[in-house]
Amino acid sequence: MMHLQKKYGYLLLPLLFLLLTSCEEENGSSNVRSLVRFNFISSTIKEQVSLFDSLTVTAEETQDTLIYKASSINHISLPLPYEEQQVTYMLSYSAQVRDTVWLTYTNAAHFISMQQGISMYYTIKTVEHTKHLIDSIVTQNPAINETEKENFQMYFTTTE
Amino acid sequence: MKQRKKISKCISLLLSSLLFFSLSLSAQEKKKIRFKRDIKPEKVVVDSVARTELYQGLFVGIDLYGLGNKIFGGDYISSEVTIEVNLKNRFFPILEIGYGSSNFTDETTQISYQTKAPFARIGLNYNFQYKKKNLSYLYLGFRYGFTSFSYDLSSPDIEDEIWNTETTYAHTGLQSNAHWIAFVAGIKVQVYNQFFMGWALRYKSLLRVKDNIQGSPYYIPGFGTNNGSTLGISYQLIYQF
Repeated sequence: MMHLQKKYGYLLLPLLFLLLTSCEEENGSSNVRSLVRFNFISSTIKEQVSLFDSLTVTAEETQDTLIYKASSINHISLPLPYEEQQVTYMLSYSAQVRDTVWLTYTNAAHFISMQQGISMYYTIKTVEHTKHLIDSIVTQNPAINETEKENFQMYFTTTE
Repeated sequence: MKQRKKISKCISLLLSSLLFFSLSLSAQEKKKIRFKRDIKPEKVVVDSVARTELYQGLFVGIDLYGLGNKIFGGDYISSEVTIEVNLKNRFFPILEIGYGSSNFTDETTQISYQTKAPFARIGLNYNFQYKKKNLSYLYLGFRYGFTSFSYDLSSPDIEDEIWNTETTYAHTGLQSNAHWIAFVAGIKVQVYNQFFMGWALRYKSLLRVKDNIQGSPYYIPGFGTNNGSTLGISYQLIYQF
């Protein structure tokens, strides 16, 4: 009799597993936006440095300000348009001094997960810029996705 | 609303568990009455000579867990048939063939995923109770699984709040295939004559899955949710030939 109880008891164990897994809570969230990241590098010491007293970044074809009067920052992470294959950023260091950066890219909407939703993935094709304060821009990783990482090194002339 | 649905799922599951428990106990009670009449319980004694033979029989089973998964709030439904050969009551080469499907829409993101495809697994179980004379099996085993399938993904329009645009996202017939391995631990006991019931825990690990730029598959037939590695379970009704 004990043997039978033990035997059928074993057969019921999966119900416990089912109970535990079906009562798990899920955390929902909306779509994740991929950002292109520029790290600021000093042309003199070749290291990442914090710069600017007031940096404002805007983009063409939007009224939104992407970054507003940021100071002592060592990188910027910027959104790219979903529908276009190019973007123009304006970096304003003061009322008089600013640089312009042009990116061209390919893009594709990518399903990440049921909870995280869809994110646009980009692959950078070209980068061009003016040279008021920017010395050069070096591509480190042309692939842009929901995992933020260094995509470009933006070199500035600095004094020690 | 979502919370209420979760709670009702849990309550229905608890009630089902209790019902199954009480049915099982009442079945045992009936057997208790039978024992009081001094009727000796039938014991299956397997001839020791027969146990040394290579071929000991064939098991054919169906998985009930995959079929019942959807009822308990799962994202998929899966059915499979297993064919298992008993060699020396110790080694059990096994073939599992099934069909898995998922038609799921996330309540929060409203992303929809559909797929349906056959799958197959091959492997081996090792019975640690090969010396025991009662017909119960405690085993460890491994599986290699594979499937080839297509899937559909769609989402509400993706809104770009900065540049004020909307992008449609709907893809059908995305091709993929997957290979995985699984380690299995389970039991199988005789419940009536040639009928057995059993369950097994499975630790599954993906070896390879073909991705698409539009997105990886959410559910892989025969494997489950595409998480790299995952725990699974099977609950089988088996007939021995």
